[in-house]
Parts: sequence; structure tokens; C-alpha cells
Amino acid sequence: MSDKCPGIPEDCDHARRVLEDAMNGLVIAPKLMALRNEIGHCAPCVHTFDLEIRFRVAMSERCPEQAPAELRIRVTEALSRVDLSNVNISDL
Amino acid sequence: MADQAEFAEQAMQYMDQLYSTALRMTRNQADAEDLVQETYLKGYRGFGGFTQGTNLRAWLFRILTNTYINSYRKKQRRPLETDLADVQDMYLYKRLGGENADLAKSAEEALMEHLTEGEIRDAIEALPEQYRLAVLLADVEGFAYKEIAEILDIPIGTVMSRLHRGRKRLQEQLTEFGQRRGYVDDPVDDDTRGESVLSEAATSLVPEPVEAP
Repeated sequence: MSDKCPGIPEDCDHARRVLEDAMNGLVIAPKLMALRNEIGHCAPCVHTFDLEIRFRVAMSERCPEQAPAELRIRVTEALSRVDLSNVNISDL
Repeated sequence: MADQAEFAEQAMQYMDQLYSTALRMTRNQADAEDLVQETYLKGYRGFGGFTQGTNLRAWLFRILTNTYINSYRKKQRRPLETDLADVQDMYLYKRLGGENADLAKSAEEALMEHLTEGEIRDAIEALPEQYRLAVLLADVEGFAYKEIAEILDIPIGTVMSRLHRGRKRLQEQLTEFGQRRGYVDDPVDDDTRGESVLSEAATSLVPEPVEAP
């Protein structure tokens, strides 16, 4: 486990598993810190961990879009009056 | 059938997220709007079968993804690629010491600071579809591996494989943007960094499971 870390991120199974856990689901600070501490003895692994998290956060920060107000109105109106009987149920 | 008002009350809060993903899927605003509308109509139709208390957001994303795959993908202008080779929390993470404030800015940090929203979106949209869907659901929407597996109806191992390859390609693409714009050094001038400063990190830790058949 951690005491067997070779000091090279690509060769460290433990660091790989820790990052895998960190990237699973929402970015939650306490969880990240706990996971980061698990590899805290290895500077290269921590550096790589931080980079991956930073990249992930950049994705979540800079990609979201706001739906146009017209779309909101369109959907609301459609839900209230469109005949739904021809919807393809296989996509549910 | 479930009450329409109840469906709207619970589901409309996810419209921005659905629209963002639809836009990256279709790469086209008109198609993205149609896709979101169709998702809501199908969601309403199937809402009677939805189990209250389970994950409505994941359920809607599954409808969105299936509708895209079954309908919108067919009329995309670009050929289908088949190559398979919480913000606030980050602030807290930094304050907790998750990043070394005294460390000089690395090439990766400089790159992440300078990349624009447009560059990141372009890089995502350039990904082959299988990777793009996995990366959008994981890195933009924050779904867990298991949820993504259910949304895309693929094994978790396949999810992780697609994520690994998608992230690596994305990071390579973004590094190229950075090099062209001078945010990071050209790789030929920096023999300690290799081909891509970000993809180097991705390759080093993110696992690459075997793709399930």
C-alpha cells in the first residue's frame, strides 16, 4: 500500500486507486483532503493528484451553460398541452 | 399518470444542466433545445414509472442520452466518430491546504488559468462521441462511475476506460491550445515535460481498464 509507493506516480497502484476514488462523483473538499492525505508522503503523487483535480474543477467551472429563457417557456407550454401519446417509450 | 405539475416542479431545476450537456452533445443550439424539450416530454410520459426518492437527475440524463443516441446523432453534420482506442468545494479545498500556495506556478497551472471557456468547450466537442459523453457526465456534471454506467447502459469498466482515454485526449488538446497561444512552452523546448504537460499527469495516475466487449 502507501509504504510501497515507488515515488513515481505511474508506478503507484495506491495513488492510482486514490485518484480513482477522488474522481468518482462530485468534487467534495473533505473527501478530497482525506484521499490526498493518503498519498501525502509522495510529492510526485500529490502533484499529479492536484493537477487532475484542478483539471476536473476547470471542466465543471467553465463548461456549464444557461438554458435560454425561451426554452424554459417552450418546455413548460409543451408539457401543458402537447399530445404525449406518440413519445418513444424505449428511451426512458 | 403522474401529475404534470409535480413533474415540472421536480424536473425543471435540471434544465440548465441538461441543456449544457445537450449543447456539447449536439454542438448545435437548435438541436440542443429540441433535444432538451424532447427529454422533458419523454420524462413526463414516463414519470408515472419513476420511483420517487431515486435519482431524478440521473433518470433525466439517461433519457437525454438515449434520445440523443437514438435520434439526434443520426442527423449530426459531422461524421460519427467510433474510435474507441462542486466549484465551491474547490475553494474550500484550496483553503484547507490542498494546493501548495508557495509553490511556483507550474506550466500546468498557467495553462489552466489561461484557457478560456471557449477553448475548453471546443476541446470537449472535438472528442469522439463515446469519450465525450463519459467526460461530460463525469467531469462536467459530477456523476459517479456507477451512475454513468446506468445512464449510458455500459459496464463500469467501460466507463472508466472511456474516461481515461477521453481525459487524456482532452488534456492533450488543451495543451496544444496552450502551446499555440503561448500559455505553455512548446514540448520540443522542454524535454522534462514530454509531449503534454496535462496528459502526462493523466497518463500517470488515471487507470486504463480493459474495455468491456
